[in-house]
Amino acid sequence: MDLIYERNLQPMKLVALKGTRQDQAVLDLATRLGISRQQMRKILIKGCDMMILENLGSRLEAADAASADDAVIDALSLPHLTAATCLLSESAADEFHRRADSGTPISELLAEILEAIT
Amino acid sequence: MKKIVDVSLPIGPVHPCFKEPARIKCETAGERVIRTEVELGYVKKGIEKIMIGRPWQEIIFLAERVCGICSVVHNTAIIGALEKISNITVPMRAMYLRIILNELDRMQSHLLANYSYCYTIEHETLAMYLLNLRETVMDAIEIMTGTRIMAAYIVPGGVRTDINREIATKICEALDHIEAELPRFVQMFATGPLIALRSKGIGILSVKDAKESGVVGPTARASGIARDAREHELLYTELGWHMIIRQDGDNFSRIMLRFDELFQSVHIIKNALAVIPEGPVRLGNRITSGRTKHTVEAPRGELTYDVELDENGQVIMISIQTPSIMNVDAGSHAMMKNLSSIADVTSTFISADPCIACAER
Repeated sequence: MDLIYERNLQPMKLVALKGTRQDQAVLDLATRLGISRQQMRKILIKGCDMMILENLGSRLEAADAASADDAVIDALSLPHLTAATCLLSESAADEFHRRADSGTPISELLAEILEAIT
Repeated sequence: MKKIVDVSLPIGPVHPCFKEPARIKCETAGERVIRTEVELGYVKKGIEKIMIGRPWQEIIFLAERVCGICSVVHNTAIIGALEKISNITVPMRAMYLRIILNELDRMQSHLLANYSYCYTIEHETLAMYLLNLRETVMDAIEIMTGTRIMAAYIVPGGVRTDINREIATKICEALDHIEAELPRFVQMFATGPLIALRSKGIGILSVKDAKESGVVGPTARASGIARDAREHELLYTELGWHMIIRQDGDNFSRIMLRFDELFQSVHIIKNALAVIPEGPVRLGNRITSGRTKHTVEAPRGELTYDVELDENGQVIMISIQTPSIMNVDAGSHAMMKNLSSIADVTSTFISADPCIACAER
């Protein structure tokens, strides 16, 4: 949302991400997506609000539980990118899931997902 | 014809209804609030980083300073983690004393939360009644520990000091006073038509949203989620603890649930004082190296300390997961979404009992 006297939140968001639990969550998500911690931080700072960043650990735990039963969803980290971090819309996630089911390689979809959230 | 204006409205960081600084950015369509975003970062302490490299003797005091309102439970959690790492046995009398102090701490925190809510919805009379009653609890804490906050009462292997019969009697008298006064205030809240107008059906947190953000404590239990870390502690069950839940998930449920838990805390403390065994309150101990995760039920929900110590007792890694992080997140993304009035934003935010000091540990 646009506020007329909005300030730059990047430093505050970075401080939130440097917490022990948040840092571990960033690393876990970066490993899932095959990118560096710095890249992951940049994506999260750009796409998430401050409360999501503060609560990243619990949100990713809930996403882990949600993706535990489905190997495709887990490989694409869809709950992590939709419900947990709101980086990807539900409709886009459904589309990626549908394409994975129809035989598109996971690596190709992951590259597309990365492009979509960057 | 009335013109409806869509604006992005900031509330805070300094606001008369907020005990601590936080900024809520509201996206509105006329009077309706479409979505909100909570912005923190005004009082960031970085206490986890300060703790790293320090000996355990220092971090037990630092842990209490995470939050001034619930300092007792931070003390309990860090000491519990150290005892778990080092396999330290706590004498039975000390365990009872810990429960008594933690329940007194829960009572003052719940009374302060409900005071804040009543103040926010402009029912200042009830708010002041509750704040006055909280003083009785704070006096009981002072009688027991010697100070109102940051008592450092709980130490590895027990508690710092014992209580005598005179102190136990004074605590019982304070509880009797609360039991006599509180039903009148609960009745005022439960039956007030204007309170119902501002509270019932407002700020509803669904079970799905609650699970997504990992919401804990009274905020979760008011949405029908049976989650309380005390259920794993046998002594609590023996003293009469049981899970209290409500189903509606609105502001009214959250406040009423805290009132329900206040009565339960009085019951638990009275039972503990009646059957507290004689014996030592502190045994010898030695802190060893290791890593553990320890969770306790703070007034606002589950508080988890993940601690790793080296062989010298210095902290290698520490992570403090406070309940307010999850509860403010749920407030921001679920409870305050689609509110019918901008006036409900502050009251809904306060109903989740957000502790900014805890969230900005």
